[in-house]
Amino acid sequence: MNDEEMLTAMRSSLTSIKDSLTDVHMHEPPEAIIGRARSRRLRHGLPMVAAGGLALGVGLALTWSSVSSPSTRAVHVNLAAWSVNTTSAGLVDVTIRQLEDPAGLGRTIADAGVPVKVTFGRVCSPPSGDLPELPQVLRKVANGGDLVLTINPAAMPSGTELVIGIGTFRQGSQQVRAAAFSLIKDGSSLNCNDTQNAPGTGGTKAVS
Amino acid sequence: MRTSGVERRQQEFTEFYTSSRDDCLRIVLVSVGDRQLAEDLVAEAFTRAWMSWRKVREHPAPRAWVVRTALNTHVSWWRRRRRELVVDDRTAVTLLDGTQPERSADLDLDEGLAAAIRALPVRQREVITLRVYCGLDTDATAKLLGIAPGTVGAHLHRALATLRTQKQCFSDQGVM
Repeated sequence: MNDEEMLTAMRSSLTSIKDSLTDVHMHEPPEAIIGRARSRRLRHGLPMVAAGGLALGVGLALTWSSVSSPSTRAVHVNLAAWSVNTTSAGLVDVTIRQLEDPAGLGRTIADAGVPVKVTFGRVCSPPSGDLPELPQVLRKVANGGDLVLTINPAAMPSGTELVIGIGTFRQGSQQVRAAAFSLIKDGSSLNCNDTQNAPGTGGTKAVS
Repeated sequence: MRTSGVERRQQEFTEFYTSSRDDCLRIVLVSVGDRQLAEDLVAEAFTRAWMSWRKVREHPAPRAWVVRTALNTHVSWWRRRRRELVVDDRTAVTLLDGTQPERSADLDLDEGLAAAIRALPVRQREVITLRVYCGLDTDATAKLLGIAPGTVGAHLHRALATLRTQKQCFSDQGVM
């Protein structure tokens, strides 16, 4: 049996693997793909426009400012409760060890170029659902009990902000620590729910 | 006129994306074995396809172009973090108590054969993927990969030789 015959013999088994994945779908809408390409073109194209001495309108300048700032602002804040560090790749690494000072954490993440709302003890979500870019913007890294997030500011569409809510929930007879994430348009309304034993109102509680 | 041209291209791309995305994702998933990584790679590949749409739309096998681009995309910052948990449900609360995420579709693959494919060297895996899943012949595969048809044959031969060693796996499936 030569290679082509062997390949033919194996083809049905090989393709059956793929064909068995009927429940696997790509949910990202085409608008998200096109939008990502557009923002990437904008990021890469604007410096050349500026170098050519072309006048930029105020709106364009504002857009450039919001897009470029994540990659130009270095932040390295490491506290006992949480850490925020930008990377050379333009990412923002966030580690939360204790649910303390959510406002300070939010400001620090914002300094790193990520518009964000941070809540401890309450979890907020948009009634209209998340923007589809969320999986490209935020990842939660498995790291024991600490909450470790990697945020890609460049993947955030213009005019959006991240919502991070962390709290303690009752699951049966147990208390479990949990987090919820959303990506919303600026100014979008949010439905917020207080979590049980909200650490933000009842003192600091370790995420471990 | 320019606006209508842009809109027409956008409509073409949207139709291509809508009709191809699931198939491309499944092909890449078989090859990389990680649902989230596969989605990232395919999304990135389609993004590049749209950015180069004038070229891709003229390509004889645009779907294969996307698959090949996905497999070659260096999503380095995601790949460095391959042990990440996935935000499966964007609106759901994600537990932080160290529990494992729910079984994802990649775990439902035929692990024996799929693992054997994934264990192949990158170029051999590309050849198998393009020949089997994208339906390209040797010449088209060679052109897409930028290598000689004879080299495609050599990679195919080595890949099949490796896969043949998985006799037990294949015999269980009635292949050998």
